Amino acid sequence: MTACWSEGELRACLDRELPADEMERIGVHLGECPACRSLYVEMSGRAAQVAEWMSALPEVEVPAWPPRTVRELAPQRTRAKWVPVAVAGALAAGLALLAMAVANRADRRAIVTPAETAPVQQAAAGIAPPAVPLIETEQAPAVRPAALRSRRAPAARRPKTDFYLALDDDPIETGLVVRVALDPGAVQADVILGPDGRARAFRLVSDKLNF
Amino acid sequence: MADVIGIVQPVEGVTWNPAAAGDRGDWFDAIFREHYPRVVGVLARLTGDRAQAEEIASDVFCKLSRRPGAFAKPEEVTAWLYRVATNAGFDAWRANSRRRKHEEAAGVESLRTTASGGALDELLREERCARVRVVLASLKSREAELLLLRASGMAYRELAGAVGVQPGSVGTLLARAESEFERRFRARYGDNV
Repeated sequence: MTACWSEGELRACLDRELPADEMERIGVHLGECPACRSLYVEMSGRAAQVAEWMSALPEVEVPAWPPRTVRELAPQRTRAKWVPVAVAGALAAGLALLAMAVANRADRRAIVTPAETAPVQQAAAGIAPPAVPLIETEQAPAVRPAALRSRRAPAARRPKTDFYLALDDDPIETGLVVRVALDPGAVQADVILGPDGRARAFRLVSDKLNF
Repeated sequence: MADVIGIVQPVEGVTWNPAAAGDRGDWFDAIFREHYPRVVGVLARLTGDRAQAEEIASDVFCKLSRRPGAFAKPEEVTAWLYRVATNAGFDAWRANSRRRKHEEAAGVESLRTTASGGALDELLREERCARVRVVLASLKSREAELLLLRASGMAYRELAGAVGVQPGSVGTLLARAESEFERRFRARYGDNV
């Protein structure tokens, strides 16, 4: 009797994955070795059963060539790791500038009033202060001169940041602009999304602020 | 999805630079063209969702494109690719388990109200798929990968490259994986399946 074959070789024989001469020798051996024949039949039944179970998983038609081009996944197209950090930093810087501007406006409102500045200016010029203030007290609540208010009013209606900060060096032909409310009613941002869904540029929009 | 890939990504300590070997960026194009459809097919069978399969496959290839110098030999790229893709597919399938349970419950409720024969068949088919996936997920990673790839029609030589073993070992590994799959399947769902 010829030598027995290993379990792996018998399994490969089942799938006809062995050379023709080895397949023939295994066939001869199975005819004369009841143990190997029993193992072969057992493995054959198990393989058929497992294949039937696995066939429950649906097969999906996949095109020979994917619809998207390989360029979209090529190394040079991958987003740099610093981009999320840069975006977070830019947003943080914008919010910090916003907070500083608001604080600066509050300081001007608290310090600069005509009733307080007039005596100081006159004393520096060697002139005695008048008995009555140069500016009526009713005008004191006007924090800023009327000319300044009129000059700044249009600026408050247009976006404070009217340029986009690019997040990617790759140009895009089309994109989707999405307005995002960072703090509802206070600060908004416009984000340009590319065709692949990635954010390509953004700008801060603060048209509801007046500073 | 990036987190999923990050979790299952194996550590590669060796270095292989395709650019130094004269391949430049073409190595990625060649691997993508050869393996993308099959990776998507395996993942689609595993997850049951082609869109999700394409998403996972894209993430895996994207991850691969960022590590051209992480492989000592070209054969390791294939083994890495299928191992990461299969693990990511199982992770995604597990992550969706809660949503799937809700959907199945809704399907049962719909079946009670409509009593449609087509819906019943669909429900039974989904149940069979779920059983196979549960048992596959309980196997060792390499055994599950081997069964999935074999069911997708890979020959032994391709299986050897995808799993990272010698071609002569595929028969033994496949026989053991099938034996373990059958044992676990019958232990969980009984002999009458």
